[in-house]
Amino acid sequence: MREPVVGLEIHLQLKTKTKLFCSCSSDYIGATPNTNVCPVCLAIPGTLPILNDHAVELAVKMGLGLHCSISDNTRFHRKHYFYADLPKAYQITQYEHPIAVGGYVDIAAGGKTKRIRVHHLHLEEDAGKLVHPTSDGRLTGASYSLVDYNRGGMPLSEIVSEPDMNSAEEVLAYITQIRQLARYLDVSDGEMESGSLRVDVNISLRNDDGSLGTRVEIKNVNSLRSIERALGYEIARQNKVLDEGGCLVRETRLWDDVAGVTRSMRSKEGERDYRYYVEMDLAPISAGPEYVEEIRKSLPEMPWEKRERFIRDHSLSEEEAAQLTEQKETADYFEECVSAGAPAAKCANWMRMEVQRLLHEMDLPIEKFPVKASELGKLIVRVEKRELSNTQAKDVLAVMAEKELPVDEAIKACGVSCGKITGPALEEIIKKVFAGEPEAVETVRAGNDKKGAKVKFLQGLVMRETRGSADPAEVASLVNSMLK
Amino acid sequence: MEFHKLSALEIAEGVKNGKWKASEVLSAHLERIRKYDGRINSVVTLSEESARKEAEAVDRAVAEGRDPGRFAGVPFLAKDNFCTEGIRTTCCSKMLEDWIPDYDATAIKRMKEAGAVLMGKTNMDEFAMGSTTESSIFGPTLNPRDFGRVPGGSSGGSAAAVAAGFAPLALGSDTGGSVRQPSAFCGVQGMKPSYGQISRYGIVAYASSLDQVGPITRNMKDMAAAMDVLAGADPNDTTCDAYERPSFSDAVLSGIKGKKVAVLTGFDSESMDRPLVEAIDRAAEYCRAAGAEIVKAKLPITMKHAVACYYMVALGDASSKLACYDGMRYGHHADGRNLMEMYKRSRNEGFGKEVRKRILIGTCILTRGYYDNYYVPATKVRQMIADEYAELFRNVDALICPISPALPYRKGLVEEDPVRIYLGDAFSSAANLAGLPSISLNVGFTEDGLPTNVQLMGPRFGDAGLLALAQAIENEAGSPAVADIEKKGGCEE
Amino acid sequence: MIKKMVMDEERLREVLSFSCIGLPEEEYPEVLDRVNAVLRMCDEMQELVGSDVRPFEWDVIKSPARRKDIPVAWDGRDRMLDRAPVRDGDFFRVPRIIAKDGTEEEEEE
Ligand SMILES: [Mg+2]
Ligand SMILES: [Zn+2]
Repeated sequence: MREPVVGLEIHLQLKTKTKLFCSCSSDYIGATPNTNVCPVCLAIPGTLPILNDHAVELAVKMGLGLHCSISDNTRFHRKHYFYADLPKAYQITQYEHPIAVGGYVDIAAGGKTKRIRVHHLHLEEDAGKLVHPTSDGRLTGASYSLVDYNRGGMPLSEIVSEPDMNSAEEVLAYITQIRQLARYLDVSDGEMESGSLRVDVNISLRNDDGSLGTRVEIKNVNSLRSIERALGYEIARQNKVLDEGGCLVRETRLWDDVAGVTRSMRSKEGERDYRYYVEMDLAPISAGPEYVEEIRKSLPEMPWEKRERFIRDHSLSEEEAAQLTEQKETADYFEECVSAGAPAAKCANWMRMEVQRLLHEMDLPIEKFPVKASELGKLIVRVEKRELSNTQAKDVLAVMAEKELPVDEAIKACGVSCGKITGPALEEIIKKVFAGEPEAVETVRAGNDKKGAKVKFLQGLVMRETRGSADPAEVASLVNSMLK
Repeated sequence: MEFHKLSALEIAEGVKNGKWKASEVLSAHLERIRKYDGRINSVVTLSEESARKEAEAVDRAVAEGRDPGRFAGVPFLAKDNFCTEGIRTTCCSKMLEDWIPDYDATAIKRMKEAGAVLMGKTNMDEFAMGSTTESSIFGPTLNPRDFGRVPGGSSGGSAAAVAAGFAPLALGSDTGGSVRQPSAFCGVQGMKPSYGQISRYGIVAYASSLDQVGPITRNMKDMAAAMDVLAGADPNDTTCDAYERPSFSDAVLSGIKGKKVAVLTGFDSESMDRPLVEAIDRAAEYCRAAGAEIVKAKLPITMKHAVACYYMVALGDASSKLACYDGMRYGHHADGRNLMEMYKRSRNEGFGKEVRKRILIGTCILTRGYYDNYYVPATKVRQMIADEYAELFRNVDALICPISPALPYRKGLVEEDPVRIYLGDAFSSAANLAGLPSISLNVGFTEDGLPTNVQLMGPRFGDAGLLALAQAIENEAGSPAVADIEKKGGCEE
Repeated sequence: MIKKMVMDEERLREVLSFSCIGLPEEEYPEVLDRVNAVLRMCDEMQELVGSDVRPFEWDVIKSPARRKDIPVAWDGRDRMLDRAPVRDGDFFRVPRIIAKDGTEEEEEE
């Protein structure tokens, strides 16, 4: 079997308030068509592009996060083609002098760490959107199309990898890593569903003699799942063509998610000539060393740094650290929880189990979780002090989340008595339980509970009766002595 | 009162001190245009109503004791590629025949803020592509000094209008000589400031790295005042430099005593029209009289390559900037059964023949192979040309050279001898390539009444010093008078 | 070293398609002549260009302030749509882009 060789182009929509070259709002999702437009992004004669300062900053940030070097003499080019979504009939993009070059991303796949090289990151403007009034919303066969320029001119950073990935697993790990980084740096939402992260896949097969086969580009892969499927399909297709002695053509293929196949675009791609040349309406971007240093200093802790630190400082396992640092918000929550005095291991456990479960039930992201991290910390502290049992604490947490209450009020609302049930109070409960289960008591006293199952059963009933407020060790010893 | 013979500053002075009203001045100019423009066809759109309102606002300001601005009540015209709010801006092309922008170009805005009154728009070669003002959809403009000749181009309408006394001041755009050459042909003063001196925002582009707004006047004091009004940074154009400009009006009076002025040699003066060669000598003589030292200079790289380099850069860029006219958001639209057909039909019908051909040539230049072998070398040669000038201006303060090798062309030469017209850009286009300030200065007329002129060039952003030089020469040569267009005009044979 | 290139009809056809310009076939020779005349003017420029010569770039005295990331709404949207050749509600409308069989249609001369 030939080895697949994959490189990716990832377009990240940058999290700016305005478009790349004009002051139109970037808040276009759900907006009435053609409302976020102005003379510049509609290419009205006489207008000129004006570069968004913040977009440059975000691109530099992302570039630094990808370990790229930032070019201090970077330029824009024009890429020409006529299409309804491109008002100037050229896209302003970076071609010969991208803002960030030569970086890498370390990914974990197949139980190993692998370095994927990043060729460069460049800035460019997005195109508008076409709406096709066919029943399935597709371009093919539509007798006319409608154009909405709200997205036209949105700032994108395109991250071009080297062809360093050899499996779908690696591809997904790489995308996940890029997305995580973008979110950590607050550079992009990185959502495939809303289109703020878009992926083009370049794939070829390496022959047995080590030579690389013909490269095919796959577009229209809109989720991790479809990327995985498209890769699987394309690897099989290319292998089949070659096995049958056929030849592959260098082409762009579209992934059809419904049919589960890639289809040739049959375009004149090969004949296209974009006529790139320097955009003289824009001055060169001067991202000088001081500017870059300033941004470098402002960078937050990177996800992999955080992961290492969590393992080191909080004695978490690899797996725990990875899970808690997956999102910056989760990591922040965790650390705040710890700083409220709760032991890290316990915090990790609560977050991975209870908090996770509640978030899932409530369908909320961690940053919208109604329980403040410091309150969860306090709750864990009380469990540690044995003022609450685990079971009680879980109930309390649920109330905290549901009613948005701080710990103390949630405890009251829950009706659990704060503090342990012990000594005579506990003996009272045990007597009551014994009275309700005479047969079990008899069996034990008769010496017929060889495996100790009945004792455990009785202990369990007591625990339940105390709603977890008793110390299990005390319950065990009292039950045992009272059975004698 | 013969308002049409006054300079812009004289008009403003009179408006400010109550000698006359802006509305009066405007009426006189509008009347002159209505009466005589039929002879030369320099104005394509008159905006009388908005002009009256602007003039009244100036008169009100004066009456109320407010500052009416530097150009209070000065009527002016703008080439039809300046976007003007509410006034159609056609580039004299069918493509934009009905297009009414909803914004003013920065240059227009600055003029209005200074109290100047926009009367209308002037004729030009379609999309500024030409040097005779014959390719306009509104028909050709004639030279007010001689109806048998072209006014030059592409800002031929603006130059002709100023020469004809329709306005003391008009705005043009200069990509390779489009302000200076028609100014020379019509016998008025024209300036292309340094690239980055005046905002290009609102000028319908020909070539991004060459285009520059240029004022056309009948004397240098008006020119300097126009520069004061027009030059300055603009948040809408980042290629416009943000440096603090000097007062050009102060600078224009500073004289040239002790300055070193070079006269260009090493070009084929034999093939030039004789009066224009003599004009150079005369201008040099005036400089000497004003206290400057005259030296000789050669620009071998520039003289050999400027035209070729200019065509690469200008046409390449034009093919790109004119791609936005696709018939779907604005401009001429033709139906098509599919998208590409609509594009092609709209562009074919909307653009004139010359524009289409220049787009094609420009596209050829940028396609694979040609780009590497021709366009890229041109951008490097462009730098060498800029370096050659920079080196020259390390040693001298200014350069005198021809602006056009020929006196105004007879009508129709474009068809007969296009190469001659191409080569006409040899002297003018270098200033655009290197981004240098350049003035086309009238230095008198031939016996036949045809204007003679020289080109003055200075170092980048040395616009102020260049104005001083032009003023010194003008002091000797005199500033050109209004063409007596009312007496049938000029010396038509 | 001069690498003399000559624009031919085949490339011109491509260029016509890139630039969305139509040209009657009888006018090909004229345009080709002009393109090649421009190229011949430019041949000698190739010679001048050593590897150490940098492409043209502007000298700047003071760079303009960069644009801050602050949205500004534009009120001309409706006027713009109204003046568009084909308005369709909130949209600009364009004719068919790709036919049923998936091909990009070519115009007929
Ligand atoms: Mg791209
Ligand atoms: Zn916009």
